[in-house]
Amino acid sequence: MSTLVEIKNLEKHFPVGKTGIFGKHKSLLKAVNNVSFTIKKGENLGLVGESGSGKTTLGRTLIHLIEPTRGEVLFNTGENKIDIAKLRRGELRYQWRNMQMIFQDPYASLNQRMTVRDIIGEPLVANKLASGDELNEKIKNMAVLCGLKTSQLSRYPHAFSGGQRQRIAIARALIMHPQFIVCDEAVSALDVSIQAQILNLLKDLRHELDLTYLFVAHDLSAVAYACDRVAVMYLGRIVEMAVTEELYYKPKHPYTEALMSAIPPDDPEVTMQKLFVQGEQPSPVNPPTGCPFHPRCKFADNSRCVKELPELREVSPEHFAACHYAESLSLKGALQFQVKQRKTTNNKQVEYLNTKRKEIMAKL
Amino acid sequence: MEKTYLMQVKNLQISWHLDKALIPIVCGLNFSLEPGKVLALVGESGCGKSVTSLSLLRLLAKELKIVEGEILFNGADGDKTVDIAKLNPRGREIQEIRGGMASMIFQEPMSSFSPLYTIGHQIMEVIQQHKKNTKEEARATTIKLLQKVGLADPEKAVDRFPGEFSGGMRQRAMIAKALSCDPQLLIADEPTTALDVTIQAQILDLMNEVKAEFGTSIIFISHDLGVVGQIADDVAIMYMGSIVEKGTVKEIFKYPKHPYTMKLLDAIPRLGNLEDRKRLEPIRGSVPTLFSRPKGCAFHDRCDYFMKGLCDESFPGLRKISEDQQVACHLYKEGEE
Amino acid sequence: MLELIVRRLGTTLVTLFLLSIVAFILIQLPPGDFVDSYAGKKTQGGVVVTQDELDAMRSRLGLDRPVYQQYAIWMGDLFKGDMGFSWEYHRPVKDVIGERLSMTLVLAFATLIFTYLIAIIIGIYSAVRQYSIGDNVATIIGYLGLATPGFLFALILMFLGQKWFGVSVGGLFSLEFQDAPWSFAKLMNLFSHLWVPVVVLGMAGTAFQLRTMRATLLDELNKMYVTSARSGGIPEFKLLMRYPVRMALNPIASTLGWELSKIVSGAPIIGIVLSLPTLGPLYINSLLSQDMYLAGALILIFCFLVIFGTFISDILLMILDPRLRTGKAGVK
Repeated sequence: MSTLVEIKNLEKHFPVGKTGIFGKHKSLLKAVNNVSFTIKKGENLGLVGESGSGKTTLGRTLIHLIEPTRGEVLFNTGENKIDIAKLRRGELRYQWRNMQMIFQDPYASLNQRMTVRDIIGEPLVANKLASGDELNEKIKNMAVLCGLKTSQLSRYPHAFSGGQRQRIAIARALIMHPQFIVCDEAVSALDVSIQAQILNLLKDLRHELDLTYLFVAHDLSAVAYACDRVAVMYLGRIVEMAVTEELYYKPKHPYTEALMSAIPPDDPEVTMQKLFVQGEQPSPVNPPTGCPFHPRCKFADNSRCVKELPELREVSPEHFAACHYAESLSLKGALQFQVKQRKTTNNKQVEYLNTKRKEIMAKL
Repeated sequence: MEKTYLMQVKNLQISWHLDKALIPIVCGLNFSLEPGKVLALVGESGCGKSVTSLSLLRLLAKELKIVEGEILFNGADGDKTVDIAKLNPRGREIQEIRGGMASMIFQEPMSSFSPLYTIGHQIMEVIQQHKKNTKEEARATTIKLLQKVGLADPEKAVDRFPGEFSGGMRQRAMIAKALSCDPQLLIADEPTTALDVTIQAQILDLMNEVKAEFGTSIIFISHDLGVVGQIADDVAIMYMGSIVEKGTVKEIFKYPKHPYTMKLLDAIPRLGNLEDRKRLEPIRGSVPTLFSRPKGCAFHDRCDYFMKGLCDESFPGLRKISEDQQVACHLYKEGEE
Repeated sequence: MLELIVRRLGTTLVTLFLLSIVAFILIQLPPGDFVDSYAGKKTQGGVVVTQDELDAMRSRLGLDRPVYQQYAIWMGDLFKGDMGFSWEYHRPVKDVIGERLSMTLVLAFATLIFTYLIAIIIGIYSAVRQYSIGDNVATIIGYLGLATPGFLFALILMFLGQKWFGVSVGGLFSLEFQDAPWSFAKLMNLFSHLWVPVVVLGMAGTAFQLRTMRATLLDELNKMYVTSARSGGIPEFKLLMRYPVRMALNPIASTLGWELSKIVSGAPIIGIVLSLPTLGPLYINSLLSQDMYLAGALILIFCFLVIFGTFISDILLMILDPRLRTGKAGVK
């Protein structure tokens, strides 16, 4: 697979605290701290982390919704590579046709005063890409593709449920046929049954429209389902990145192991093991020295981990980890904490209920 | 027989009073809680679980009213049963129960403390409200509580403002506040939902400790079945304001009977077998709005086993299909699995 | 907290100094000076004034000097406690202002207290009993209060007072007390007159603050922390006062300085309409006749009142909200 986006040493700092006499801020919050990775064409790359890890900022900085402090974001358009991080407004507007974002809150991200048709078509109108019948046709097709009914197009967003609103938001993001989508907690606000619908929809659309996703989320289970590869963020840095099964089942970073241990098992008879990590993520304004995870890590030593920042390096093929001891640690993966089972109901039960249904129907 | 229950809810109905209309939110709930047990009310947003939890201590907003039913509480000495549903929500009796015999933990740790008073002040206030304690005694108790819920440096934490705490620390403080007067009943409304996974695991741990150490009975509201599996003894699954299935955690999770419960369990992405992950199995359609409640079984238009003329006509009441399990579905008959 | 107050005082002084410059420039801004307007009046009265006389007068008053020197002299005198001489009244400014200042202060602060007392009490009632008859009445009166100009309201009150009760509602004292020395009876007489200008002056502000209080409190009442405190068994009244009300007082307290400035600036016109012995009418006169030192002193006094109001509101905010005291507002 070819590379679609290449991120090099991307940083985003926010000034925090009171301003001093000369208008300088007392400290810097390094929300994204020297992050480098690549996104392959056609993949769904997951980006997980706890609140304050910088995952949302990274997603937004990547497509230059937020001005990066430094670093490069090389976007492969097919003909040439463009550094998104250096683009100015005008060029950026043009490039945004190629990259779109889907937000968490489908209630807040849709203009309540516009009809669904206008919401979905707005990017086309704003960029003067279509009008008249062509516009209508495009809107209709995209709406249907996203699981909306054409009869719903003249309604307003408030008439829709959360899941349907997210479909509208997705249709709008895809109307200009972008190559790259940042899904920022796109399913987090939805109930499980609806979340499953949207996850499936995103999966179908990816294959149908040849899309690449960066899937930013805090829900590890949803990410496991949606993504081919997953990157784990901690205090502004990527600490581990690998193919999904690798990362979940054979983690190489103690923080990933801790995350796996924190997911409640699907089976109530399996008691959760004592958490593999204590305390809370420290403030990103004042991160620990050395490895940012060392104060909470049960494997940390007093010398190297405290003093030296571990680089993100390829520990085994396609498996990157930022831990000094990544090779020597034997860490537990999700399977050691979970049950090896995918579904609760089985075909036998479904069959049984169907016969029962028939019996009762016959009596009616 | 009834005295073995700490709380017993009978035919609880709650409506939302709009200008002229009365919109039913909770439609005839029945459940009971034995001392020392944890009962979880589980469901998706809009199923009425939070409204139910607030109604148990009469904390509902003005527009929401209990129209019928009883909330029997055997908190005091065990021989006096109070019907909370009949109490004046602004009266003295309910104030004595709140924070004293029964207390509550909320979802949003960020907003459930007033930013204007210290954490200690807000806990001490509850203690002094219910016990004839001096300020010093209340303060000492508070420090002990903060230590118990795992806050580092409780002597200092007691004088901190909520703004200086992280979400996890505030939720710990919230638990300390809820436990301050040794309640028999703890109502926890999505206490871990707003927290990160590692913090969620810590809070769950803490709640399990509380349950073991104090023998507190807990009504646990959640949408997260995984979390529920780790803390509850009994589970009631709610859909559109009524309980569709009720039973022990094991029965519900391993042998779900109601089509909704089955679908709900299968829709959760699981980590158990990632190699085999293809598609999730969502429930089709979406939850109807409160204004368009389907006739008969509220789930009928999303159900795979829909029986025309039955499910869309008559409302299935809960039927007992085994010692441990009740289900509200026309597919089942009383006593038959 | 003390440090914050001291720092705040420092900025207050700097602001006052800057304002004094602005005030001085403002006074100089209209074409001509006191001598011109003096000559104008004399000429109207049929008296011929020669240019020499005018020049002599100018140099006597110091008006022939450059503006910055005039300012320096004025400032220098001010620091010595001398506010200068009112040419119009032929008396030191201090004497002219004299008792009128205390009356103005009494009126301003009485109005302020009236405004906030009524606004807060009715605001709380209105929010807690939303859409009750009392709330609706308060709402209607509130909108009327906002929409009626103060001077019009004053005229209406005067008219009604004359017509129905046969009493004059103007002034601050009855005739017999106007020049009488201070006594308990005079004080009582003052209070019996004070309410009219207080109501007139405070009406718009009260209505506005009442709306603010009601809206903010309605927001706060639905917040999670209120339910959370209620779940601890805190009795309703105590709960209301300690939790949502204290929070809702925030925006009210922060506009106190602003409210005071509106009272002060609204006072002159109403002062004239109700013929009050306050600084307002004096202020307008001094500006019309370009009585420089008097006008300057009055502008400074008014500015000081406003800044003082802001200062008080800052302190109140610090008392209400500990986050401002500890400076730990944004810590997560």
